[in-house]
Amino acid sequence: MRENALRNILLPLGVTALFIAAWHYSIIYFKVPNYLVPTPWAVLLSLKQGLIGGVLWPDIWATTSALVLGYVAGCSMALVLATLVSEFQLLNRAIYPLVVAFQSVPKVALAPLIIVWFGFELQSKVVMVALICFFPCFVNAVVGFRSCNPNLIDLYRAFGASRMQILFSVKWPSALSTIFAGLEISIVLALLGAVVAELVASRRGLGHVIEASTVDFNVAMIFACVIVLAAIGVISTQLIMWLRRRIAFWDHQTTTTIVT
Amino acid sequence: MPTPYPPTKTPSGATLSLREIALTYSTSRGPLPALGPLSIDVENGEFVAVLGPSGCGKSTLLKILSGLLQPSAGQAFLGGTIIDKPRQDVGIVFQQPTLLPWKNVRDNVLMPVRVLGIYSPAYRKKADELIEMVGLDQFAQHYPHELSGGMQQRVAIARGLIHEPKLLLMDEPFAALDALTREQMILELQAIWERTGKSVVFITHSIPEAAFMADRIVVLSSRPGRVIHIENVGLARPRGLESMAAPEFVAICDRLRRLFTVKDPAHA
Ligand SMILES: Nc1ncnc2c1ncn2[C@@H]1O[C@H](COP(=O)(O)OP(=O)(O)OP(=O)(O)O)[C@@H](O)[C@H]1O
Ligand SMILES: [Mg+2]
Repeated sequence: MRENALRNILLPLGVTALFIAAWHYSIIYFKVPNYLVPTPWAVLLSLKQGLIGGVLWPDIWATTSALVLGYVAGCSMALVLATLVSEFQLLNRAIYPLVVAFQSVPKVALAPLIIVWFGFELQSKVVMVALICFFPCFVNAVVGFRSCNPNLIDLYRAFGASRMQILFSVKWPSALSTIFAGLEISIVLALLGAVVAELVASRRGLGHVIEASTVDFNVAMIFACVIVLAAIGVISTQLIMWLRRRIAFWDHQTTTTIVT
Repeated sequence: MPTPYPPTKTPSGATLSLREIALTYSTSRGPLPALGPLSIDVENGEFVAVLGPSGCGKSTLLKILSGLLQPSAGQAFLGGTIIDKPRQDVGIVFQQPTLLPWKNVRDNVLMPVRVLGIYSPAYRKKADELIEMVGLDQFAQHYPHELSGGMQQRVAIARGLIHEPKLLLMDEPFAALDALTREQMILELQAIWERTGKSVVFITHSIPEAAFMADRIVVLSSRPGRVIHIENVGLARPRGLESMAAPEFVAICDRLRRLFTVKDPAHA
């Protein structure tokens, strides 16, 4: 157990150290100009300037607030619609094929259109994130509701349970682990959506900082932003996985990773 | 609506009375007669086993008895009244344990009384008694995924008894168990039945299982299931595993087995 933990931490750390060393010496060896690839040291300085100096915090805040708002909005709409679709056969026939068809559209291609409609501020980012979160969440929830054990439903019916009781006492809990699988996919995509919206047009956020830094060849800052984004991604994913372990505790598949 | 078999006509003392019931499923490939017409009576406190080949409509019969399905023809009566919707005085044990994975053993056992809306603290005590009766008193706080298949099935049996049903319906409750657990469960169920004195309809396709536990065995034909034979099991009670070696027991099993092999040319 202890040895395992040691290996789980030391091994990635070792690989990272090796990578940074290789990065450092290749720049020297191949004489890569600083405006193409920054030295690890320059990236560290940018990170320090951004996080401790505080330059990046407003942008981090802008990106995470768009992320959280859009994520919550997109996923709650998906869950409500999925519930309705699984409860009403007519709605299922009308909506489900459309959603599945629209799912294959690359949502980032709609970013310019969304900016035209919702402007350069927070709204367009939230809409972009919500749109991108919606589909995986919806599809997973519908699958979850469908895979509910019919015997459990029969059992509840046998004791005279109402439709609402069955929905909230059987179907929703049964679908939870599948719903969480959708939520885990969605959070990864949500960050992507937020950054894309900021890259296309925004005056705030990490995507905007990356965009602005390309103009004055501040590659070190771009690297710093990517590292911060990676950290946001890891933290939010871990948060969802932690919630899943807490809420859907009976599910054994909590450790499986999801391929998007 | 006048019924051809009003309650007064049901045989006196019979808890459960089926009158010419039949069920036809409507499928995409047209109507599919799944069951009957058949008539069965179950006396008060009687243990009746229903034996039949796979797909003959046994689970369908159980769904009719529990009020989950309406027969396409005929009527089923329970305690003199027609079964036209799920009823409170029936306990069900499915082939699979069918427990709620997010509730612990005690809450699973209490589920029927919670759904029925008759929960009171007294039931909590009752649940603990039932859990003890099925030998799981150490596991009241455990969740289903922490139990073995046999233990889960015992939880399901305790759950079937919590609201003190007059009639217990069991659909191949031991089919998924290994031979050893199964034997143990058969003994346990017999003891429970002797202690509580309920009427039981026990569906199975195991001949020895039926012969060991039942007062009466109803044998169904292949689909659509009709009654082709009724076997009265006169073995003395309580029955221990040694009664499986009794010549009478062997003779009954033999008779029943021959019933199936004659019907089924593949086995002839
Ligand atoms: N919901 C349904 N719709 C259509 N046909 C069904 C349905 N349920 C069962 N049937 C059909 O009815 C017949 C009887 O099914 P049932 O489940 O009652 O059989 P069974 O005797 O319980 O079989 P087994 O011993 O394998 O459990 C089968 O041929 C099955 O295909
Ligand atoms: Mg069956």
